[in-house]
Amino acid sequence: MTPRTPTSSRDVGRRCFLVGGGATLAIGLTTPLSRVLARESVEGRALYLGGRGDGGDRFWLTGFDDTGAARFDIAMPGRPHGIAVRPDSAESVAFARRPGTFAVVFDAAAGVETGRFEAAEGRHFYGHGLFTADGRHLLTPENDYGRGRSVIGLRDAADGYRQVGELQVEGVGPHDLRLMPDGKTLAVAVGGIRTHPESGRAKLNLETMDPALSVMEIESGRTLDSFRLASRYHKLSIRHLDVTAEGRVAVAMQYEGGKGDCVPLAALFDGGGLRPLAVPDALERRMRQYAGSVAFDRGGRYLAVTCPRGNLVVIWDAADGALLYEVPFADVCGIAPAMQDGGFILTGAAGHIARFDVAPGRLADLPPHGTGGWDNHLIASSG
Amino acid sequence: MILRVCAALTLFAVLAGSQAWAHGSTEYEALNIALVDDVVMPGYAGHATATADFAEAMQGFCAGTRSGVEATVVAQYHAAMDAWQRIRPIAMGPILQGTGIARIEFWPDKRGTGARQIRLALQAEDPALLASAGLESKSVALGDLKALEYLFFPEDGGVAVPGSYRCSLAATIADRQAAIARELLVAWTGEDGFRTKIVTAARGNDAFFDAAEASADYLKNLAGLLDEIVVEKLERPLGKDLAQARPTRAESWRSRRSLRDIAANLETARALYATPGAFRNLLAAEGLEPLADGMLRQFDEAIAMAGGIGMPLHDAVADSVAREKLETLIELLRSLRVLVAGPLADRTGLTIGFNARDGD
Repeated sequence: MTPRTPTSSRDVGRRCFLVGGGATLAIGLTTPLSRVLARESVEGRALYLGGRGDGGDRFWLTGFDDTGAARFDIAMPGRPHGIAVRPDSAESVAFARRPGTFAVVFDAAAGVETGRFEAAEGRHFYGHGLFTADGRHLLTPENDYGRGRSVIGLRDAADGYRQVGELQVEGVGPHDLRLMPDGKTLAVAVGGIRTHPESGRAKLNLETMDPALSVMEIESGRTLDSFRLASRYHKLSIRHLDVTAEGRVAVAMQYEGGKGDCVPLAALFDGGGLRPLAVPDALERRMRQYAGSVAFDRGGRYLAVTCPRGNLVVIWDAADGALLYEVPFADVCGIAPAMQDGGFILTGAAGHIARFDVAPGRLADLPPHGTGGWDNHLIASSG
Repeated sequence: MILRVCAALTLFAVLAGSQAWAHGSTEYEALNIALVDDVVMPGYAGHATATADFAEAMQGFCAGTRSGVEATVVAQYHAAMDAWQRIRPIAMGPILQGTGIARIEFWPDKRGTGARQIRLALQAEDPALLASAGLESKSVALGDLKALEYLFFPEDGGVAVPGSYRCSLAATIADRQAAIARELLVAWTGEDGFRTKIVTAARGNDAFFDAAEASADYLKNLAGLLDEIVVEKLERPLGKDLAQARPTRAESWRSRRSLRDIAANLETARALYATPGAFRNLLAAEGLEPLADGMLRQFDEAIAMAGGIGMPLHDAVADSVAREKLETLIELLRSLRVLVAGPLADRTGLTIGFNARDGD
């Protein structure tokens, strides 16, 4: 296998239209489900949490284990999106997809709703949230559209999630966020896209977008540093991210420029700057300028990005940036690490759930859940 | 070497590779051209004409040069709204730029922003709002078709008499709407306009990767429209039972035309489906004539039902007999939605992604 090294010298003006299909090798037919189940039945059970819909106007927050077996469905007031899992607790919080305002607190062990709260007047959630390392506070990226600014709300989990403070974000549209290994700083994907509820989901500042990966200190609320790609990539919105135990950060992006442009959709950050991950032109075109979610495997070596518009998952070796796999899966977006190194759990269209393992390069289907679509994100919790 | 994993799952095989699709790019290209020329362009042209006629009539009426024609002006408001409701289902291209469809119709307005802003504007009588481009920097809720509805069909009983601030504000908003409609039409028809993007989608361009993507956009609009009619336009005012009916959540309750809006939406939905060369033909070419014809009958039935409730929607939601008719209409539209997202999408090889729309 030839390692592919990341590059940052690619030109956003390069056109993708006339690129032919890349040479690829088809391997690894689907593993019979029984084999997967047999192998994992002797191990512990992880719990996976994701939102899903019925294709109409009904939505649930659903929990299933690593065999795909359903644990619970909790009815949601609207389409749920990101989920924050409270450390050392069964408590979790599901957030409304932007520009929604609800948050539903639930007990992931019992599978029941335990409370709700709303964004303040003149604000909406961006769809994601994160607990502090001690589990005491919940951090919620919010659009304070009434005052035209972006903030991260700080809420007291011990006091009904009452807002007790906020962090001022430098830039527009903080979307997803993660704790860095020190437990004191945050990596924040600042998408750079301005929206306002009066205009629905319309994007209001595409020409002046300035997305960044920001590192913020929770206690002081200060932005310690912000990292950007080259200016020609200013329409690449940095939306989602994952962090390894060693502090390596991966970001997934979506492009707001012309469909003909070739742009990277994933980048690695290891303290020095953002390094785009390269893929061949033909694959870049198949990824359709849109990465929906990103996850490292449990061991932090492999990095996977989901591309629902391209109906595929792309996997790299994070150590050297080598491109390893592209995995077809209809409307795939939710991804979370499996319990074993090199494994990922995936969700997509028509209730489908699957597992991909890097070592054998094998996609195995797990029992589907319902017939509607899963939401963009899948979160691994404890069993 | 990259390893491309081959998924043996039937669904994935159908959806993951274009070689497995039931239809080729030629059929998608033909569908795209048929719909843009037979549905989209006439829709935008009609919208531009109707809003221009309305704006011109408003200027004459407010200046007092056309006395006694308020009924005509109101009729032209309805014509402009009809024209808009016919293109509202086509949420693609230039209309999505900037503040999106809200600059034409800011609805649903769940916080009552539009009514509040018009009330404040009428109190303040700020002449700056009447100046050229005076509305451009203001909230979209102050310059859209809903704002005009508040002015023409007010709860405060006010009348847009010639010479009044209310009349001048309405004329300014009508001008703005005419300008927006004109700009949209140009953005579709210009040399590098969006019609050209659709017609040349098969070769790839700034708007589409290929012809299938443009065809899928039409299908997503069709599914999205059926969702919007059920969830926003019908279920929200209907409530779970009679006691929870909320008549003022109906789209155009002030002007008593909420069902007319829905019927206009459905006419376009039917056209997107049944225009020669479009989805109905693709289904029939698959040997699925019974499904193709059955869906057409359901569109016709839904249009007839929306026109046969017998009273305005905001009255119907509070009437136990009419509610049953509305619930039947909802069931019919839900069934159509299932057919669009299920067999129609599958058999035409087009994906209506739950996650692939505009990013989260």
